[in-house]
Amino acid sequence: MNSTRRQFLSAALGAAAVPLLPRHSFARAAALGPATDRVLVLVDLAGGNDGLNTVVPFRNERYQALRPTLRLAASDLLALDGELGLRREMRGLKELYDRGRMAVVQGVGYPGPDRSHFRSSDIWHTGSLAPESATTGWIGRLCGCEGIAAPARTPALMLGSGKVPILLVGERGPAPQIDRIESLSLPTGPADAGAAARGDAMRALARGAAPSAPALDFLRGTSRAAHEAAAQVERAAAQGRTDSAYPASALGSELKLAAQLLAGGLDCSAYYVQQPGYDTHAFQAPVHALLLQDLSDALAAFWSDVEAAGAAHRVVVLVWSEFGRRLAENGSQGTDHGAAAPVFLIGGAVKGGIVGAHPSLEERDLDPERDARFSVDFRSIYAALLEDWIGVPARLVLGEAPAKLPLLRREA
Amino acid sequence: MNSGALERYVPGRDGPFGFDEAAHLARRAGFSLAAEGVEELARAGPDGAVELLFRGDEGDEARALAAQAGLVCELDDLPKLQALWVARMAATRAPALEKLALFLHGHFATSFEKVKRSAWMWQQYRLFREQGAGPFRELLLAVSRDPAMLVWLDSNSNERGRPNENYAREVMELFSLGVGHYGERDVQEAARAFSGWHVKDGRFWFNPRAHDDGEKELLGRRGPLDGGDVVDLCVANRACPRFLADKLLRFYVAPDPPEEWVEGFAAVLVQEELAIGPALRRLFASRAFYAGAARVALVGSPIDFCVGTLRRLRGRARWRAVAEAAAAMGQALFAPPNVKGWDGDRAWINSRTLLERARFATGVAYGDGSLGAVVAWEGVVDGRDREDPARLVAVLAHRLLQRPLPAETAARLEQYAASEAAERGEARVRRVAHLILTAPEAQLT
Repeated sequence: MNSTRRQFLSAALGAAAVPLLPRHSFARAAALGPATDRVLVLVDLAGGNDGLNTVVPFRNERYQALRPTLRLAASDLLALDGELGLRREMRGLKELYDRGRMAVVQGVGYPGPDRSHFRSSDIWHTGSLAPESATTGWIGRLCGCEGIAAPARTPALMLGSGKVPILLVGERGPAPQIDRIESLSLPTGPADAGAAARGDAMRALARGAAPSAPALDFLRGTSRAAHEAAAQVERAAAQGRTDSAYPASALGSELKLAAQLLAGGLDCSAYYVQQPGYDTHAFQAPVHALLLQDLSDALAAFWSDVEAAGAAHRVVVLVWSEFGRRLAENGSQGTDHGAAAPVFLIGGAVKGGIVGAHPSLEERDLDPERDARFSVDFRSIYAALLEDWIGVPARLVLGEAPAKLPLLRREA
Repeated sequence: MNSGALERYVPGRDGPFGFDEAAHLARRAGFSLAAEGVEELARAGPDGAVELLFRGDEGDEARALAAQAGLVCELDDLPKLQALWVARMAATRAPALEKLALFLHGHFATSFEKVKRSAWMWQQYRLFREQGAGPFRELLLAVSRDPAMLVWLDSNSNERGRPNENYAREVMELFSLGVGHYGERDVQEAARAFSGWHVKDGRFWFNPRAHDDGEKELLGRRGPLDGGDVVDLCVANRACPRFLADKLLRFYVAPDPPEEWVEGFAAVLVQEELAIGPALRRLFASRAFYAGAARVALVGSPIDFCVGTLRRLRGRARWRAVAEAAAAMGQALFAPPNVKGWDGDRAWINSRTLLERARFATGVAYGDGSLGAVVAWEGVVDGRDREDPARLVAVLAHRLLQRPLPAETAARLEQYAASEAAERGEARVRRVAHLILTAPEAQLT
């Protein structure tokens, strides 16, 4: 087992745990080319993306009846096959699909869909249907987000200035966060001869050796992570470069920064970005179009830089939302909170194509709230990423998990 | 029936009531006081001190700021609005009511980013400031008719035959009951009940043509229910006092309050007929409030950190810059990230926000940068205390944090203070102050 893979796993599972991994995962690793760290890029569409108007069953008569003002016609779409289309604003993602780099997984959700933003997000983030009893997220557990970066390593990183979600919280604290390169430099006061000594003193104060109250331990750990992340990110940012044109949006600049750090060799296993704005209760059409255009353009630019850096085989992008929206539009030309929705995966190791059938829109097939029933449990996607790509048994990170979906390729 | 934790804290029998306890009260119930104010609280005893924090006259400066509000509200400029509130918090002599307004602002989290009108946001703030301490039922009803809230949660789109569920869901999930105490059906029926509760020309307007006056059933009651009935049913629901008790305890007392405290405080709320002011007065004078588990146990919010530091130092700054700093630390006044408000405690802390706090500390200590902080450092630490590194660290910790530092931390600071790099005189005072404010200990409250 190569040393970088061992780093990834031991950070995840703790030095004390010695998991027994099946031998075939090592063979798979070797088969995927030069031994480098795998990277997950997590794109969270916050607010509840209207999947029905993203991957559109445009020929379906029920669709047309459910969406009198919001329905999209063939001319608004880029056909994925005879029945489904992506809205035409998503040209960049459609190209990735055509090149076999993108999987569209339909009908993703979980039993007992929750329509609270916060609870449903927590469910996706923790990988648990009882998120109240979770204090860590699945990425926090996987990457060992400990509030203490291991030497030369930032296990996971959030790009952007929003709240760091529980997704990225590990046993001992949240992953670091950055919105601009400059925001990570330690404020040591006036630029005089004493600045270095003050920086040293600040770092020393975060290292308190005596165990103390949990609140203080937490603060010290996060401080140390902040100092470590600052140093590592500065180094990677200086070395990395990006060539693609990104949209002039927060998502664009955050993914650009992720690409720069990736190309600059930051030793980081997971990057997280959030694109807010999907909670379209009223006058949905223009907002949704803009959001999906931004998403598509930013991801296309990002993937182009990933390929230019020679990293396409070791990066997978996962795009999801905490729920879809109600099938029937409401009275304000918008939609309220719904249930099952599509998930996208992009990557050199991803088997491109449409996975699963579109949820049935027939009355008799809907759930008690008259929303689409899920056919894919989101945890089966996580399980596929964990087992088939990263090489970690799903139950170590997720506890009980449904069987994994065959989403990843067996060879590069 | 009261659990022991919510009984009155009796100095002597239950523990001391000195400077440390008074400082704890000032920090939690309000935004801190300078040392002389804390000493006055200490002399007044637990009950007297609570009275002082609730009853303090607003003061001339705060009144003058309120007069400025009219001008600020004409501009629809968020930074100016934020600066105005920060200035009021810094000047207030009725800190308990001001802090409660901040709690309620987070509880009913409404954002300028969608409301877009300073006058409406300020009006909502005045509602919290003036009625926040009163019965929760009146407050919730007033919030349901508040123009900013009506815009924020799409109430104008809620009409008979085409209901919009946004407000109905949040009033139960986030404002009164919590997840698990209502069903999807209740949300749908409540949306019908609130239909027609619109805003027109900046005021609440009941639109009879948009109101669904049909038969409804929610939370166990049946009838032609309207929004007022929904409010009554939510407030009368058994889950409501517990929900409020848990939120208030997490904001004011401890991050993970024991069940005994939640039940006890819920009982207090019920006895006070869900009037938050009287209930808080009892909480602030209770044994739980002064228990070890409540002391230095919460991560201070950005406002606690910024405004509290300046008040303890009797310092001033460009209030707009203070508001910007708090926003960079994750607490943008009048613009919470979403309707759930701010989770608080550890959620305030990540690598980025810690560096922003360190940036603020630099501004306060050195007086440089856009913060424009003005602190009379010569008054903070006088001549003799400046000479000896150990004395300097102890005095500065007392002034800046109003509680002693752990021995290990104090030792490191003394080591730095004794070094050449720390310089001497006022320059050293500022440098050590900067380090204290960036220390992990300084983020707790």
